[in-house]
Amino acid sequence: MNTYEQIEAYLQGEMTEGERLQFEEQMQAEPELKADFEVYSAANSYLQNDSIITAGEADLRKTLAETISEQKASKTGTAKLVPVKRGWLYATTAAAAAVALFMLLRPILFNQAIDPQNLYSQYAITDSLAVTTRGNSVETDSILRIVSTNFNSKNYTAAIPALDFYLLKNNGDTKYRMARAFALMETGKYNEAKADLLHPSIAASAYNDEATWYRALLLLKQEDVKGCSDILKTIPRDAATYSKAQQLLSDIGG
Amino acid sequence: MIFVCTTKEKSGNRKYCYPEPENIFALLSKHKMAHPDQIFIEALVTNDTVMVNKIYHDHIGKIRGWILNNGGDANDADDVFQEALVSIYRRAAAGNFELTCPFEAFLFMACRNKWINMLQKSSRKGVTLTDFTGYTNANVAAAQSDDVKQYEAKEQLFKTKLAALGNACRELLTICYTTKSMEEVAEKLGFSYAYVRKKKSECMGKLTELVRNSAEYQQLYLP
Repeated sequence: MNTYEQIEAYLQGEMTEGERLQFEEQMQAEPELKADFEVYSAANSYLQNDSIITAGEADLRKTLAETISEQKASKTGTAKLVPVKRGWLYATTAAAAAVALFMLLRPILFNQAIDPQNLYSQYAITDSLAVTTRGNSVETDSILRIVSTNFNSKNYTAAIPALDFYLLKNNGDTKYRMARAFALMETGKYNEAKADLLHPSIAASAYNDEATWYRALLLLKQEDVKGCSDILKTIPRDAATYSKAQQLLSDIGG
Repeated sequence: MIFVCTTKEKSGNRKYCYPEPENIFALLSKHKMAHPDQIFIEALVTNDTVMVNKIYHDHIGKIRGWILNNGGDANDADDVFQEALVSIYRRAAAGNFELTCPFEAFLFMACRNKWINMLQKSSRKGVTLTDFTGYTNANVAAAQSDDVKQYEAKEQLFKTKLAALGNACRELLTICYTTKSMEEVAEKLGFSYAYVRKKKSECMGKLTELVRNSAEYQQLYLP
C-alpha cells in the first residue's frame, strides 16, 4: 500500500488497532507523512460535507433575503413637505376626518365584530423544526426526529409527549420549549402553554420577545381580546415582533 | 478518567484512589462552558428563522453605521452582513466551532474582514478603515474571525485544486462522495471494489499534492 492508500484505509477505519497505532506513530516520526495526512484528511472532510453545507447555505441565504426584504417593507418612507393652498388644506382635512369617523364607526355601521379565532389562525404561524444531528446521542436524535416529524406536519397531540420527554432531560432548551408552547396553544392546553412561555429559561433567552408575542396570541385564542391587546402594547419598538404586533393591534382595534 | 491508587499508612493501609492530577485539568477544561452566545452559532447552523431574524435586527444598525463611515452604502452593508453570516455558517457547520467571545464582537470582525475583501476586489482604493471601539475581547473576536477566514481560504483552495484535477478524477471523486458505500460506487462504474479504492486514493493523493505544492499552503496549514 502506498502512502495515500494507507491514509485512505486509516480514514475509512479499515485498519486494525495495531495497524492504526503503528500508522499514528509513523506520522509522529515523519513530518512529511503527517503533513500529507493533514491535507488529505481536510480534503476528505471538505468533500464529505460540501453538498450538505452548500444546501444549508442556500437555506440561510433565503432566510436572510426574506428578513432583509421584511425590514425594508416595514420602514416608513419620509414624507415630503409640500406647500399646500389653504382652501385645499381645509377640504382634505375634512375629508380625512370623515374617513376616520367612518372607519371608527364601521364595526357599528356594518355589524363587523372582531373574530378572534379567525385572527388567531391568521397570525399563529411558527417555523418548522430542523433536526440537528451534530453531537447528539442516538437516543436524542431519534426523539427529536419524532418531535420534528409530528410538529412539522401539525400533529401537535403526538409531538407533545415526545417534547415532554426531551425537555425533561434538556430543561434549558429554549427552542424546543417554545415549540412545545406553540403545540400546547394549538391543542387548547392554555395553562400549560402559558407556563412554558413564562418559564425562566425563556425570559432569559433570545426568544423572550417571541414568547411575549405567543402569550398575546394565547389570549386571543381564548377570546380575551383586551388581554391580548394589553400584552401586544408591551412589545417594545426594537423587538423583532414589533411590526406584527402592531398589525394585530390594528386588526383588533386596540 | 485515570485513577491513581495508593495505600496510605495513615488511614490504616486502606486503598485511596483519586483522579490523576493532569486529568483533572483536562476534565475541567473539557467542561468549560462555551460562551452563552454559542446559541447564535447554533441558530445559523440550523437556520432558525426567529434567531436569524433577531441576529439581523440586533446588529445591522451598528454594522450599517460602520460601513457608511467606511466608504460603503446601505446595500453594501446588507451584502457584507449576509456574506459574513454565510462564512460563519460554513465554518460552524464543518464542526467544532466554539465561540469564546460575545457574538456581537465576533460578527463585527467578520463583517470588517468581508468589507476589506470587497474593497480589495473592487477598484476602490485609498479607504482607510476606522475601528469600531467599545467591544471588549477584541483580540479574541479577531482570533475567532481569523479562524473563519482561514477556513474559507482552505475551502477555496480545495475548490481551485479540484478544478485543476483531470475530468476523470473529478468525476470519480464526485461519485465517491455522493454514494453511500464504495461497493455501490464499484457497482455503478462496473469496476472492482479494489480498483475503485485504488483510483480514489490516487485522485485524493493528486489533490493533496496540488494543495501541498500551492502558494497558499504555507500560510494556511503551517503554524
